[in-house]
Amino acid sequence: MRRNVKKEKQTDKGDAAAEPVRAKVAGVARDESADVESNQPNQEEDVADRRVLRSKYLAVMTKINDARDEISNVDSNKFNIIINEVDNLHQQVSKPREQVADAEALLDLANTLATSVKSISCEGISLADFVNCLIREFGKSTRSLETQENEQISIDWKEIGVAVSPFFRTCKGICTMLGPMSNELKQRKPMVTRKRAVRPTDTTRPDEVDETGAEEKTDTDRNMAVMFEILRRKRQVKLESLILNRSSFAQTVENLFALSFLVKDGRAKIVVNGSGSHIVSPKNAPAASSIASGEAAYSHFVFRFDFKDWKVMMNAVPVGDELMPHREDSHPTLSQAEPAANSSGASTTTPIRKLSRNRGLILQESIVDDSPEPDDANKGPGIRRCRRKLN
Amino acid sequence: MSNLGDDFSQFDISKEEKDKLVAEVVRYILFKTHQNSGCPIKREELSQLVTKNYRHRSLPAYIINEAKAKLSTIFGYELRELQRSRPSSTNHSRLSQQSGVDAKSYVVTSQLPAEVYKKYVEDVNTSHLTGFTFVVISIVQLSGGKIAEDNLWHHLKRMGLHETDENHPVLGNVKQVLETLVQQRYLQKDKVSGPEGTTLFYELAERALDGTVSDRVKQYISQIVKKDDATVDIL
Repeated sequence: MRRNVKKEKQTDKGDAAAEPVRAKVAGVARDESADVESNQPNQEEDVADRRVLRSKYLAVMTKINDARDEISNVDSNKFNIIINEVDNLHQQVSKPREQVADAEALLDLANTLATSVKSISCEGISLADFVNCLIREFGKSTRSLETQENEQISIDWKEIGVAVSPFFRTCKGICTMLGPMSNELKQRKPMVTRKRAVRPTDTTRPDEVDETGAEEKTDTDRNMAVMFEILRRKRQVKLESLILNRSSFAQTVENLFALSFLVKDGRAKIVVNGSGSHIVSPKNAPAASSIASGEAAYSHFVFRFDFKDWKVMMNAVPVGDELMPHREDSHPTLSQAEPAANSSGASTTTPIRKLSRNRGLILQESIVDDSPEPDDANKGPGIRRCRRKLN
Repeated sequence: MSNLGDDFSQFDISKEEKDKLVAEVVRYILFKTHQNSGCPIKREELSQLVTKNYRHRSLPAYIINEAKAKLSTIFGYELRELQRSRPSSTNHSRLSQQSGVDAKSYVVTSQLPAEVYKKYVEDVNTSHLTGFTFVVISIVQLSGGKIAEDNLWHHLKRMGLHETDENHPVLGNVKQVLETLVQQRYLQKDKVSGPEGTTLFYELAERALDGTVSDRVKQYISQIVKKDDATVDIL
């Protein structure tokens, strides 16, 4: 079979579009005068025709794909039908895009035949034959090959498996509770050679530490003792009166902290009376046995307390009703820092001791140097720079 | 290799240490085979069991060979070495950087005769997967050792298997089972770029190309078709 390559005839005019010269399969050229038409309306028709032609080629390729088993069959006339159809379509081809579609259709046809030829190596068995035989041999449904495509077929896969298992002789391995552990490659540490240290011959005994200081009572313990003594004397007191310190918000919080420990230890209890006030009263701590058995059960509540609440509490508690005494030595920072602020003398260094809130332990000592520096002279008498020196 | 077998003192390890390593490798192979549904075990994994404590370069090879012998004599299993003749296009970039040794992997197969295997070893619970494996390998083989993905599904559809079927009554997720065959190295995926994008091809991989397996599959294909022809003639 000979196919002519289509050429496009170029006119001498630069702006005129080239008119295609279509050759028939026999190679006889058409009369050119019949094809010469006005350019504008013909172009749109041509595009539409070409699109239709390509869709026809696509349909042929789908047909080749679907009927690939029949095409290679000796008894079938399918190959002749398809090749004639492709030939008829080829007569309408005029542009390269359609030529590509034509070539692809022929390629599909050639590939289908090539595949069927390859199958001759397996005693001439085609794929279609093999699948048909599998369906007949192992198909579960009583379905002949002529029935509709959409009808479900089910193959007995187990039966096939049993028949062919000795070919593969697969091993299942061993199943235990412990599977293979994750086998990750560990990075080797680089070897470091160290000099062996000579062991010291003389042995020393560490000094014994005097632990008498550890037994000292903390501020909280002292506050708890004072508070419990007040409760023991008064028997029943209002919570606000017990914890309020009118001159110090910080000490009020410390009092609340001490009360919380008394309640936790079971040495005080808080109840709400009929008027809605919190009443604190002393009690004996429960025995260890009753705690273990669950007789003595704790109930907890959250006590919200901030600076605003302290202000409200001061208004609620009459002056002089506060029960906990004011602790003078609790904040030496304030008392020692005040003279430093007031003194306008020359270079005076004031040590400031920072204490923890209620433990009384020295955490940090610092010195505030109030001496004005030379570059601060122009800033006026009221401004000072402070240098902090840490010991 | 006999020299290695006779004398392992060159590795500076005792017989007990050697036996312990061999046992560890054998145990790993058996458990991993079960866990991975018969997928090949990389040589690298087995080597790591040895190299994590011992540094001798040729010790892993020796231990693997010893494990091979142990599996054969005790369990009747053959530890077969697989090595890709060429990497598949899907993981070409990854494998191209590895050396030939690293690409090696191992599968375990039974050494029992067919009759004995069929009678005592065959697992009926997984025979449907073996059946599917045979059918797919046969289809690819009859297509000349290579088949386009859509073409393969075209034939599988005729047997009631659809690409989109995730709940097949016997096989479950069919696409996943097909992917397992790739992992088990019966099939190999190959992407081919064409004018209309990439086309996925399936071709036979090492386990399907193995002489005995390939011959037996061809033999059984002929047997089925001939039997069927005989039935048609009688009718």
